[in-house]
Amino acid sequence: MGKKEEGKDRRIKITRRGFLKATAATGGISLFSKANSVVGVEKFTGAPDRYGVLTDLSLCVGCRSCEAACNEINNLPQPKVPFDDQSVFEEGRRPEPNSWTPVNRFSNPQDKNKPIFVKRQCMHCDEPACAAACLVGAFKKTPEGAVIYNEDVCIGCRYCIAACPFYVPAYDYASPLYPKVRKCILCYEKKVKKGEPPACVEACPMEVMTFAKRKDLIKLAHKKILEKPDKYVDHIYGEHEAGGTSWMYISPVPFEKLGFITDVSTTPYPEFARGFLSAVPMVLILWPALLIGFYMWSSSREEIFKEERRDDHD
Amino acid sequence: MKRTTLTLVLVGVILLFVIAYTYSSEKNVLATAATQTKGPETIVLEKITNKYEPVSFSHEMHTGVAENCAQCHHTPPGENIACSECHGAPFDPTELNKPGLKGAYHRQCIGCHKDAESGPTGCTDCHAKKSEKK
Repeated sequence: MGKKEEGKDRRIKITRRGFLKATAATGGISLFSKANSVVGVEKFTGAPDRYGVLTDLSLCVGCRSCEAACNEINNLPQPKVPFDDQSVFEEGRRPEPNSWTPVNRFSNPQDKNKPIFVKRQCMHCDEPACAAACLVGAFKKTPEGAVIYNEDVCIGCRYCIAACPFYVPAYDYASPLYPKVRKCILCYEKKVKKGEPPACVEACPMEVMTFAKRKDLIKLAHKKILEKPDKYVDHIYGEHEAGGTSWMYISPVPFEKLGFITDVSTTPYPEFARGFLSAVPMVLILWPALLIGFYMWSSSREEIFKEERRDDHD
Repeated sequence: MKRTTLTLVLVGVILLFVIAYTYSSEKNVLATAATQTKGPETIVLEKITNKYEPVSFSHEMHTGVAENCAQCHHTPPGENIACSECHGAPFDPTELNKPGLKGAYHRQCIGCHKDAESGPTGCTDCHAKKSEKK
């Protein structure tokens, strides 16, 4: 008799209601727990007062002072072809581990004598795909607007390189022992953190680039386009590309003719994975809980069944 | 009482004439500036030297080439003041649409030289690099 009561007690412990309650609780916890603040799941649209840079491509003369200033401030080695040599424009260049901001030359369909020079570098997305793809959180969008990189935690998986919609990060294949991902960091520690313009912006003789609060730059860009509609294409590259970037361009020539990637989604790239990624912690907690619950329920049933059979024998 | 009003009116009218005259004469100056006042012969631009030596700018030569003063002295109209009077160094972040002195110089010089397809456009065509001299 006593044994039978014990068995009943055990059955009460895992009732259907209790089981559902526990499942709902674990699910709830996993939904609202800290696991959700993992990079890639949380939304990091950037601080409202973040900085930006507006590049007016109608002004650049291709002197490469920005490239020289970049290498100087970041202690990058001197290039094989010196910075005052314009022969580099013969072929297109992409950001490299030792050249974070190459300038390329494009022919100007409006005026053959005035080629358009385009400086490339990290766009400093408001919601960076690199940061979302990074397994260890090596990339961070700072409140000032820069997307910075922590080489101490980087494991070299290069997911950031695959994730970047602008093909910016470069991998330091030349250093076999400690290869790192290399890209423009907007002179964060040395300049932008203190509210000063990046070295390239400061070095530019034509003041092609304007460093200011991003929201003010968008107003400025619209004003420039509105004042000279014949001079500029009615588009601010970076205002909506990849959900908005800190680095923006205005141009007298359509962007697709200047090597810009124009099929970039206006949806922030982390958004595509957010739904799936936010479900991962829930599945990881819910699924084991469900299986353990099922196991306990079935094993208790088995035990009760055995006990009942034993009682019958008695 | 009547006398004072009369004098006041008279003074006012004279003032109006004076203003009108100066305004019209300024316009005249603008139109014929190149022939009337030539300004300084050469100006050494040395306010913001950093990596390059100062530029020795021949104002005399440019007054001969330019259509009028306003081609370079763009604003305010008629007042032929130095670039540095308006364009500050460094760039003023409160006036985003106005280039700083460095930008103003380079845009003015290189922009015009490119449009005219004559005149120097390369860095060392106007100023030597400081390190090269050492």
